[in-house]
Amino acid sequence: MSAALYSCGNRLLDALPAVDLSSLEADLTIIDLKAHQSTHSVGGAIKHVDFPIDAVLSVVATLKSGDTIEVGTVGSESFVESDAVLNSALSSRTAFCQVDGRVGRMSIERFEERMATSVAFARFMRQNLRATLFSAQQFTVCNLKHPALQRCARFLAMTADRVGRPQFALSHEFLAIMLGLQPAGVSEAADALEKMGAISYHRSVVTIVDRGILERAACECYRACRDSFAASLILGA
Amino acid sequence: MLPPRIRVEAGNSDARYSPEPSLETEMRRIVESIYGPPVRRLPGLDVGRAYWGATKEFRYGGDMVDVFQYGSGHTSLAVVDISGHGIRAARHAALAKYALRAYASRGLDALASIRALNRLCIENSTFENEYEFFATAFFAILDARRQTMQYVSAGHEAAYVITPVGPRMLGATGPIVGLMDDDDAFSQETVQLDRGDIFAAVTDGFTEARDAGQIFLGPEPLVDIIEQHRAFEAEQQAEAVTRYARDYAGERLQDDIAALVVKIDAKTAA
Repeated sequence: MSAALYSCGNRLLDALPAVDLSSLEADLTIIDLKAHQSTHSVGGAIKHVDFPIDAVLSVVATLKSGDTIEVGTVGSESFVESDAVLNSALSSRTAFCQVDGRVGRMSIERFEERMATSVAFARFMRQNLRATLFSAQQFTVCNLKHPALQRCARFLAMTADRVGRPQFALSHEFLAIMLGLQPAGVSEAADALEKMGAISYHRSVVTIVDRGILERAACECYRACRDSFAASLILGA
Repeated sequence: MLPPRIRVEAGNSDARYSPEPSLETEMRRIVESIYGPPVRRLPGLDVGRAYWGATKEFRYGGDMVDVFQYGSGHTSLAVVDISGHGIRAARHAALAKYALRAYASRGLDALASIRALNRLCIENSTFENEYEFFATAFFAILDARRQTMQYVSAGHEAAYVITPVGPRMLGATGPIVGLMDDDDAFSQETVQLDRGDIFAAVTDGFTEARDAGQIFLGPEPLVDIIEQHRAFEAEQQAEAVTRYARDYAGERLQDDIAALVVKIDAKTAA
């Protein structure tokens, strides 16, 4: 009888070939993150790479004005800090926990060792980096062209995918900051989504009531980014 | 213990029922105490504050301005714009005001104070399982002996030191408070102050006031307003600042405006 393959819950790592999975457990420490907890600071040394299991992390850019806008959301389909794939010693962005949950943490030394010795591991990480870049570019277009309602629906659908459950804590204010919108605009969008029957929103807790309605309300960027990350989980895609 | 509705007056053994303020009046007094009475003059400083509510009905906004003198020659200045309105914003304003006073009077510098407030905002929201608390905050500590102002601007735009040779914008030195628990995200700056210098700061109700053409007012007019009213007392200057934004936006004003002006007193500064 063969031993069951290790599965940490991060879909990217779980997609690795058996030979990589067999030694993965020793390289990962499971960490519980709380909302707002920082994982990487801009300009700081990259000491570890986090592979979310059921936590959701935000990667943000802070302007000289202090305005902080989300430039990436990372869940179990990916990892932070993506700069590690490019052999960068320093984080180019700040990352913190958006939704409470667990990550599998790998030291940068072990990550670099795996990048250097496992062709499959390196290829998966690069494929995933490509999906991250694609998403960042897609969000640029999204932020310029799509109205608040579609962007909110996209954000909520992506967050639900990443936490793997239909209910999660997310305040209007946080959503407004992350999307670079006025809180009133987010409140209007959330009200509209409630009236459409897509979600319910009570005391900063979102419940996805009808997944289909929410996805139809979201802009095309939701599917484009989801499909890009899904493809990155297939070796050679 | 006497019931709370009965008051015994000195020299009179009769217990009398006195008119009790309504609960709403009491609540209003409590909340107004958070925003505080005007502080006109402190040793070495002429202080002016002004506040303009965007709505006609009585509503507690998220703008909080505080001036607190403590220790030997230290004064803290806080201009905080808290997300949301109503009693929730008032509670968070109280938390920010007294937390910053406590940190400063305990000897923490501006940077340590803002880092501590950031942590408190996050921990408090988590512990009480309540709405998140985000704020832009300008927090400074004036040292009369050294004639310096040490400051942190947590995502707060539009603060200036206006000197006889020109203005200096005090830009942001970190993100908003309450977003992420990352001490490294914040830093502090120190500026030298001289007699006759004027510090001025506003909340985003000023910078985001829009005219009929939807053009934002921005931070730049703040300096001109102060310069045009240089001869006036700080409170009149602060009122001129909020009045300018009201005139600019008219009925389109959507957010509260708070202004703080502090003149380094030419006559009494140490």
